[in-house]
This record gives sequence, C-alpha cells and structure tokens, in this order.
Amino acid sequence: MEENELALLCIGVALLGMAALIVQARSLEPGEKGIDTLQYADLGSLVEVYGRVSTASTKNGHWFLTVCDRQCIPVFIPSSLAQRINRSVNLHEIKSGHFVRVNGLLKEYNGALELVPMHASSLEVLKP
Amino acid sequence: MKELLLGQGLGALGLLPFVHTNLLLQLTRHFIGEGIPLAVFAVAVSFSHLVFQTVPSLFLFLPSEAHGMNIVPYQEIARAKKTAVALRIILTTFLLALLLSIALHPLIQQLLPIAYEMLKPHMVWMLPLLILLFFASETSMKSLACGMLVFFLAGALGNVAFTVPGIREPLFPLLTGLFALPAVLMETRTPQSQATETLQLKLKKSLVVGGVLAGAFSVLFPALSVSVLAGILLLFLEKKSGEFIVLASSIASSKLFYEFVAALTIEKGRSLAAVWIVPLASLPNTTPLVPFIALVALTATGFASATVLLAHGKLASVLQRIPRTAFRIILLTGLLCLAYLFEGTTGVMISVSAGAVGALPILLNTRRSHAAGALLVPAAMHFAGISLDGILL
Repeated sequence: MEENELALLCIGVALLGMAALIVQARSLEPGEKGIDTLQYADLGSLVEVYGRVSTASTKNGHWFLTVCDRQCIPVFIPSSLAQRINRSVNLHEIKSGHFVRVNGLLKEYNGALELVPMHASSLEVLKP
Repeated sequence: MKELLLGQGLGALGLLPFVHTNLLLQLTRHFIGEGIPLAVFAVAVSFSHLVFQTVPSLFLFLPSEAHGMNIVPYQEIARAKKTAVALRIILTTFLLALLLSIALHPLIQQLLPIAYEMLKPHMVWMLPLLILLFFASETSMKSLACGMLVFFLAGALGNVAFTVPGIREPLFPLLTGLFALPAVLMETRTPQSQATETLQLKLKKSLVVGGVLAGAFSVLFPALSVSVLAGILLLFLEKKSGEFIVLASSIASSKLFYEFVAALTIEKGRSLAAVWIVPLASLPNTTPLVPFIALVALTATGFASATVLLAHGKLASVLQRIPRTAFRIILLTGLLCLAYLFEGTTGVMISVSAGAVGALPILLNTRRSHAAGALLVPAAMHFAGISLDGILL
C-alpha cells in the first residue's frame, strides 16, 4: 500500500476511534455514590453525589464548590461550562447550606480527588 | 531508617511498566505512620521510582511517568546499541540535577512567588504562542499542512482521551499509542536520518541547568506536568534527541524535588507524595526540613542508580537474546494487553486511535513531535478555561 493510502487509512481509523469513544461515553450513566465512599480506584468514572454546599466561590469565571456529606469533595466547574450551567442554574445564588446533586468525572487534582461536571444539567440545586 | 528502606524497595517496582508512584503510595498508605516517617517514605518512593522506571523505558521503549514522551529517542538509541551509554547519562543527569536543585533552592524559593505573580496573567496566551512559534519553524507549506493535520488530530484525540469516563490514567494508552505502537510497528519505515541523530549522546551541563530551572518553575502551574513540559521542549528539540533526554531527565529530577519544596514552603501539593508532606509545613520550625528531604532524596537516588547500573548488564543480555521480530510482536501484544488490563476496552480504543495518529508523521514524513498536540491542545484549553466536556460527551 502506498504511503498516502496508508495515511488516509490512519486518519480514518483515528476519526472512527474517536467517534466510537464519544458514542460509548454518551451511553454511560453516572453511578450514585456517597461522598465518603469515593476513592482513588474510582478515578475516571462518572459518578453522582448528593450533599450540602460548604463553600462556593468563583475566580476567572471558573467555579469552585465544596460539597459535603459525611466527607467533602471539591467540585470544579470550568468557566465555559459555568456559562452553560448559568442558563438554568444561577451559580451566584448557590450559598453555603444549599443541597445539591452533582454528577461528573472523578478526577485527581494536586493529589486529591475532585469532581468535574460534564453537562449543563450536571448540577441540580435541590433545597435552598 | 525503616521508612527509607521500605520506600527504596517499593520504588524498585518502577521496573514494572506503568506502575505509577501514586498507585504505590495509595496501596501502602495504611502501613506508614504520620509526620516525618511519612515524609521520608514518600520522598524515598518517589526518587527511587524515578530511577527504576528508566529501565522499562530504555529497554522496552515504554513511555515513563518521568519522561513522558521520551520513547522516540529511546527506541532509536536501542537500534544504535547505545542503551548503556544512555542509561549512564540519564542516571548521572538525575543526580546532577538533584544536586543543583538542592544548591539553588534558597535562591529559587525567593524567586518563585515573584515569577508566579508575573506569569499568572499571561498563561492563557503563552502556550498558544509557543505552538505558533513551532509551526512558524516549518520550511514549506506542505510540511506546515501535514504538521497541523497531525497536531490537531492528536489534540482532538487528547481531548477525547482526557474527557471520556472510565479512564483512570489516560496518559498510558495515549502515549503508548502515539509513540510506542508506531515506533515498534513501523520500525523499518523510520527514516535513517532520525536514527543517526541520536548517536550523539552527550551530557551537556547547560541542558542540566536549563532542565533544573524549567523543573523548578513548573511547580507554579498546576496543569504543567512533566509530560506537558517535555512536550513543549520536544517541539523545539526533536532534531537533537540525545539532548532531549538530558533535558527531560533534568526536568524530572528537579520538578520532583521542587514539588516537595513547594509543599513545605507555599503549601501547594502538586503530587500525591507532595500532598502528604503539606501538613509538615505547619510545624513551628520548618527550616531543617528541606535539607532533610534533600538528604533522603539524594540517598534514594544514589542507591537506586547504583542498583540499576549494577544490574542493567544482565537485563540487557537477556533482552538481546530475543529475536527482533518476536520481540516486536511480544511488545505490541503486551502493550495492548496492558492497555486492556489497566483501562479496559476504552484504553485499547484510545491506544489504537492514537497509534493511527502516531503513524501519520512517519507516513507523511513530518516531525513526530507534532503528536505532542495530544497533550498541548488540552493543556492550552485548560489554561484558557475552555471545556469540551459538555460538547463532546
């Protein structure tokens, strides 16, 4: 096979692989978990937690929440997602003591676990 | 002393490909106490692991936690039969960079907060600027177009890999696919010129100094891992692969040391091991802690280096007896099996897709460093606060 044909094949495989990964990811549903049960073994998984907001702050458009149940977990909302979330939930109105349900990817930041929401619908304020 | 020996021994598990320091620390956390013993253990594991993980990288061409994407020169060095020289250079660089980092730390400690305030407002455009400079160095429209194709395709794949759920450590399948799979699979297609460039292996002191400074200041930026930093440097240094190895080793050693310094001085933990050290920053007198950590780091690095240097000959002779074709098949199968074992089918899918992207520079005769887009595009987007999470998935 010629170099150019092989290159086209590689581009096709790469695009197909990315499409398959996106389709597979879209079909996943977050698993509900207690904050105190989250551990490093869960890294990279899609989880949903419920808890009380302990702190809520914003910097450079990013939002930082701390959601607590028996333990606490930081929730990081990147600015671009925060803008989309703000269309349905006013992040500025979230205060300490509010109960929220958040789903997202469990990631590691500076050696600690953190939850990163993925959709505009990933954050739900349950009780003000 | 017990913690030092335990940490030293545990770090030797770096011989097993892709066993990350964090994993080792998590598995053993309950067996170690708090305070100083925990600090000694964390530092010993980290530095011992840094040295031992060089072995699978050099002999099996696998991407390591420390060197990230360094496997390209490793593979070429093996073909040029200069693995032993490269090993000596890397280990010497680790030690020299650590010694220099220790010597410079009183000065750098003063400069870090000033540099942080100066650079912080400019991070959004600094990384895109570096990428633009890299593209500007292309000599023809064709190479520019091919380079951009590889770079942005890799960038798209990087974004997907870092976003899809179910992956704990996307770097492994991603880097394995981008660099290891095509390097092994298309060994015979690699242009000869690329193989001969790496024959000039030399320990340049200026690169050690540069690496120490880059590693020291990298702790200011949360997303700037060794892989990303090495990726930026790889953009400009690929033509001298031997130099890249020295620089990347120096960064890895310096960054590791300064992560612990940052944990004690500005209470910022940039790794799990460093996070464990942060509580020590609240002790009434932290002044003797940095020299103490330096001593543990030097002991662990020195002892691990001596062990690796003594044992590498036997390992090399075993590996050299394996026929090349069989070795390639074993390596390819092994890499895909590891991707499956660690990250399941998603990991294999990422590896295969990345393998296709990684093969493009060889087929299109463009620089393989364009594949660094897989790390640099997501990093640039992170600094800019752009998230594709909700759009892609």
